[in-house]
Amino acid sequence: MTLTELCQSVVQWLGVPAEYRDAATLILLALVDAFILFNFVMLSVLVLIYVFRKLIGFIQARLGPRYTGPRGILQTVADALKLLTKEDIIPLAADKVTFNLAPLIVFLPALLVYVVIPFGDPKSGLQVRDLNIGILYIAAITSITVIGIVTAGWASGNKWAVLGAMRSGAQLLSYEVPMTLAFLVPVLLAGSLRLSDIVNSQGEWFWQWNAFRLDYLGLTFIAFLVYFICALAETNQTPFDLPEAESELVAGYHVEYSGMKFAIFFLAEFGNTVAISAIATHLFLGGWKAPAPFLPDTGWWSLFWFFAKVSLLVFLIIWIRGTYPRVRIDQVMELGWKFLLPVGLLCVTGVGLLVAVRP
Amino acid sequence: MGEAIAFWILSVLIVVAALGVVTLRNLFHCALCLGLVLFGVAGIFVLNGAEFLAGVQVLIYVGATLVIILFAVMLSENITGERIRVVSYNRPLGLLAALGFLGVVLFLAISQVSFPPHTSSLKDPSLQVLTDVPNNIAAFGTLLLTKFIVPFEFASIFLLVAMIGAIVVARMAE
Amino acid sequence: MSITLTHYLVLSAILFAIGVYGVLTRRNAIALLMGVELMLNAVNINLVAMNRFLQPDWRIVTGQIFAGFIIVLAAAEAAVGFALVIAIYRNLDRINVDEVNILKW
Repeated sequence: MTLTELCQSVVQWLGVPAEYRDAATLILLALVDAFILFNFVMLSVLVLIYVFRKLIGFIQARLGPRYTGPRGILQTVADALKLLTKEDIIPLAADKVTFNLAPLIVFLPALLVYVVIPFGDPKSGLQVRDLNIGILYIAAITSITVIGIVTAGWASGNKWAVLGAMRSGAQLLSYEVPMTLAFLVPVLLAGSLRLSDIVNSQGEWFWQWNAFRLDYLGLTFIAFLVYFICALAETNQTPFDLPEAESELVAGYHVEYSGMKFAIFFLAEFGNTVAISAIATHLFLGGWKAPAPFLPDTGWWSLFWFFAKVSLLVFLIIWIRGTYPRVRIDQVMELGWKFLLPVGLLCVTGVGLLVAVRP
Repeated sequence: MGEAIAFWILSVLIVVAALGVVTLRNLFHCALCLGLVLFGVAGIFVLNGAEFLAGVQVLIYVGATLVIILFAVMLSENITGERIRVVSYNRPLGLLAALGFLGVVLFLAISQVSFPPHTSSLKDPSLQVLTDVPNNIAAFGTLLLTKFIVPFEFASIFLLVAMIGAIVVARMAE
Repeated sequence: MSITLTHYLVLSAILFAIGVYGVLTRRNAIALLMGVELMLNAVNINLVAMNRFLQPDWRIVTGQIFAGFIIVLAAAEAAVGFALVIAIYRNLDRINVDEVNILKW
């Protein structure tokens, strides 16, 4: 039984009059979807933080969390409880309403992005909505984050927070441009903005996926790298994690935030980390497809392949985080405008030309 | 039914937020209200079958223009956070002008004028490219690169000029 | 009650009137430009609604294309406009448009 049928039967059981039944089903379905997505984000962040701390620990030749629960598994839960019970401090100079609103504006896009991301083959119902503007929706929704960050910095009523917000805002705005250019390459190859069409346009074998295919002179792989670097910058990951530079830059836009509101910023950041890995998987790594046609990739198997690829990318991000030093803000801007933007333009132009001349 | 619910929610949101934009004292709050208006308008676009435009609206208006506005607000108040309070002037006159405009438009343009349906159809040679487009996004793109190619190129040049102009103006002091 | 073209036109007219009010009563240049953005959005609602209700063929999206051009031009207008506002603020330390009057004499 699919979720839609389940909602229909629940609406019928509740005795809703016939003329409102469709609307009620839609609303109920939306609520159930939202509930599932919210829990998915929360659970994935819970797991991710534990894995993250363990892996960073191993990279830095230490053990990471050990004492709470077996092998430290419950450390994240303990941290979350600690943050929940902390005092909620609002600075006197802060603008109360926007100060409370800003974490929500940052968190909302991290949640909304998952609406169009398939968690497996959409034919098995593993996607919430297969919008026809799929990838444009992702680009649009993620661009809202900037507003939340700028609001957070301004509302804190602290000059360091304002400066940090300016820094982060400029960084996010700059890297949106090459990221959108990198989005265009798979869109050109698939001729559609719909995520399921983009995945289906990639072949059965792994060397036919967008990242590894060679029939476009390797430009697709360069686009993948451009996207990946931009995605790191968009989610404030190392080497672009300037807001976390508390010793040299007095942290960033969230310097005045504490307790649960601070946790929400980090929730959004980790949620975005999973989201960008999922987007990269769908656009460049064949989505839910198995690396070879003789391996099963229908039904629940598609879920397995999808999460295998996402985990691989998340591992890569954590690895980069444990390895690279932080760059300065002028270096961040220079990389974005003087290197990634021309390279992205080159990829789009090259792939566009090749698509146009090939029959 | 669904459209009616969505329309009323969105219009109330748009009108209330727009009133916030023009009446609030704190400029930053005005800008955030403007963001709500832009979102509402994107919702109206979706209701009218313009999903692509709604995406563009959020991407460009909310993601870029609104951020520019917020930056301008932050740069024009002292960075130490002395809030600017904007006050409205000539309120009765402004109200009179706006209400007068609204009255004329509502009475004459909407209740007295009947809009004829468009006469252009696919038989028009410049629109024949649209004969077998799969969806409205493809129609948008096709039309943009055939019938409206000259305005499209003009818009690109215009954007380039605006970008250079903005950089030159903003760095004039140095 | 089903939603007709008139509903969208009235919404757009109200939004435009609010924008007019904002432009006429504000002196702060940034607030003034925000009023202009409201008016541009009102126009876009009109274009898109008319395209849907008056054009029977869903494939002819001329109105949407015009709205798209308006969005592009509004972005350019905002970039240049706010660059000017910031330049004026830095050079003259004024943000209210009626105080920027050094060309008057």
